[in-house]
Amino acid sequence: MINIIGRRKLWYSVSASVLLIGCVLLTVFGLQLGIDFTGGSVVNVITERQESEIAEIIQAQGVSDPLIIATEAGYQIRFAEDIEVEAALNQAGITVERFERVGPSVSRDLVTNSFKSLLAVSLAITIYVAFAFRKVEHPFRFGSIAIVALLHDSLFVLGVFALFGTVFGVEVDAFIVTAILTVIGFSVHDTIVVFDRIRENLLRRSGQFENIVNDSVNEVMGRSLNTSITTILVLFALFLFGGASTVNFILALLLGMVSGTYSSIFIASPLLVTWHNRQARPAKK
Amino acid sequence: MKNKLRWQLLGLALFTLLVGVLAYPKEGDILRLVGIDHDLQIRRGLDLQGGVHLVYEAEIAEDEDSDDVLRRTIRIVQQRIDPGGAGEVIIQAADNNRIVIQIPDVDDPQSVIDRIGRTASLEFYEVNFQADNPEEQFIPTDVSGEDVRRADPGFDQISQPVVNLRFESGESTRRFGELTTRIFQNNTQLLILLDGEPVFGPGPVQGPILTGEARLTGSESVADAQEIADLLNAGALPVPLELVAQQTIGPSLGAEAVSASVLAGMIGLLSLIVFLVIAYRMGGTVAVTAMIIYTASMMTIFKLSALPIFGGYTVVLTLAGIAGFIMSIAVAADANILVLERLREERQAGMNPVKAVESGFDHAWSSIRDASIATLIICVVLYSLAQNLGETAIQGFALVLGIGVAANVASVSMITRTLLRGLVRTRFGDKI
Repeated sequence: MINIIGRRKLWYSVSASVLLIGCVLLTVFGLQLGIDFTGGSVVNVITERQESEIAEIIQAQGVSDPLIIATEAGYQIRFAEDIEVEAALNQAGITVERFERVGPSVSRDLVTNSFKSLLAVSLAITIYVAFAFRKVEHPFRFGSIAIVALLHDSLFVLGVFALFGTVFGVEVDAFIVTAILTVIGFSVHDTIVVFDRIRENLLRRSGQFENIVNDSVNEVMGRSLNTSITTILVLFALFLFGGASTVNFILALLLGMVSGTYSSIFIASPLLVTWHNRQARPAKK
Repeated sequence: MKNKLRWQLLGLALFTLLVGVLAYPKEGDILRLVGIDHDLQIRRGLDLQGGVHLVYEAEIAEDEDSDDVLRRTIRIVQQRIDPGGAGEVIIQAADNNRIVIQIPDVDDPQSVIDRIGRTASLEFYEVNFQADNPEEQFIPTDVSGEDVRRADPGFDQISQPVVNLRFESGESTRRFGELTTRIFQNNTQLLILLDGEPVFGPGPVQGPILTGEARLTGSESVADAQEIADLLNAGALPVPLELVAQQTIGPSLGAEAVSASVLAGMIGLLSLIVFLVIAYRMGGTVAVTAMIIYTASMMTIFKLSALPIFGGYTVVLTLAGIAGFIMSIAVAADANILVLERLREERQAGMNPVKAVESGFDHAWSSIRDASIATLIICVVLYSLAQNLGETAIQGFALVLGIGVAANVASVSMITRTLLRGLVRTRFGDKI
């Protein structure tokens, strides 16, 4: 049996330092936000014409400063205004593969809507977990720690994307919202499965709280590993062969999955013990 | 017990056959053998199929009932872009003052945008070129587009495309009659404007029109006349609409995404099967069988939900929806693994196989139940929020994952359990 709970300070510091780096990256460099968040337009065209010709057509529509990047079969054009250029490009005989423009009011809303969703989900989960664990002592602790775990996992994923944004210029668009929500799903799912084992053992066995939690975590380890492996196998296949449009999305899910499994065992369960011990032995004055 | 189990296994076999046939990509060929001539299809979202996604903002005055205004606006937009209601156009109200429109397979997005954006207000003016003051030349009248009952494209005597108007009988016809009589007697002219553009005149009238019929000239083509007629039939928008976000996805891009995801999904599923069989041997085989039946059932649900009888409840599969589906496979794998792990523990503790199956199941159940309910809560919260906010991607994700989690609870408690119970009573029972 591995003494996971006993080494909890190690796990806390691993997580704390990783998340701290993530936070620093997020605050200093931030995420490379796509037009879903900033507003503006992106056009993908298939053409063999010169870049300057494309620029001319776009600028004739009133775009001041288009950024034109060559792609495999044509160009990707980005600009800050939300101006319709598709008709003009079509008229010039250029195939528009994808055109997206987002007005400022919509982009503002995506941010608030994402936070609203996150808040509503967290609240609902705390209440449900507290209800599901009502037979053990302090059910709200289980609920609150489930939220700590899901914040841990979402922050980790966001931190990695801040790193990728800084180093590789990976951009974050509306997919990141769906991805974070999926990660939250993984995280809560995993935490509940581990907590369920703890709940069962707390009700059936007697002994030190710390030992029961450690036994439970060890018992559930096989399952956690195998579930992670199966999910990672599926995600990894999608990551390798799933096409360019979903690569970032799948990457976010992969990271979230790993973090979710880790946090349920190495963060959520030890936190239960830390909270329990602090309550049992009030701090000396 | 044994008899009941036999029936359950038979039922499971029949169910597997059914979903297997329905989930099979060329299910139409098989269905035709039994006399059903119908192809089933998974409804794909715009990102997988290509199309236009438009977000409009309506300028609604504070004293107006925004729900009502949006409802009326949506009805009119629907008639403008999809008059027969046959296309797979989705129009939703969102966020109090927004309308989200999704149109698959559009050749010319700009013409659709133009058609939606038109206010389509028809104005009738009496024009008196004799008036001294230019401002008095155009006299507004009490006739408007609301008096028109029907507009139809047609041709005039010299084969030019025109739009024939038919006024509402009674009051509207009478007022139009009075207007034309007045113009005829005063020797002034009639001018009809559609969104500020003249569609008739200014020109004299040949005599009082008491029949309630009028003809708009100046259409450039039959298609043009048809469009004006459609616009007039749909009526004017109650409020101006502003396009605030637009997304056009070419059909090739979507097709690439689909074929890549399908290939990747196959590889992923295959490696998952190999892993589960290696890790759990007999039990793993059972889990894999259960998960394949689960995947086929999900495909069947997606296909069946696209049938007309399920009208508004169609599952539209987008990239986000596929993500939800992947997560549901992970959830399904986890549920099976939980059962198999418990089963293994009981066997190691020396329990006989038949008992171990039951005990393993009972012990795994509470975590499967609680984790599934929590995920379902997430789905419900997300779905309702996303629906209000008009975030269609999140909505699709939540719907697919929610269905998946619910189907998975059924799959584990019925398929996995029945198969395990059946297997444990065969000569392989000891190997579980």
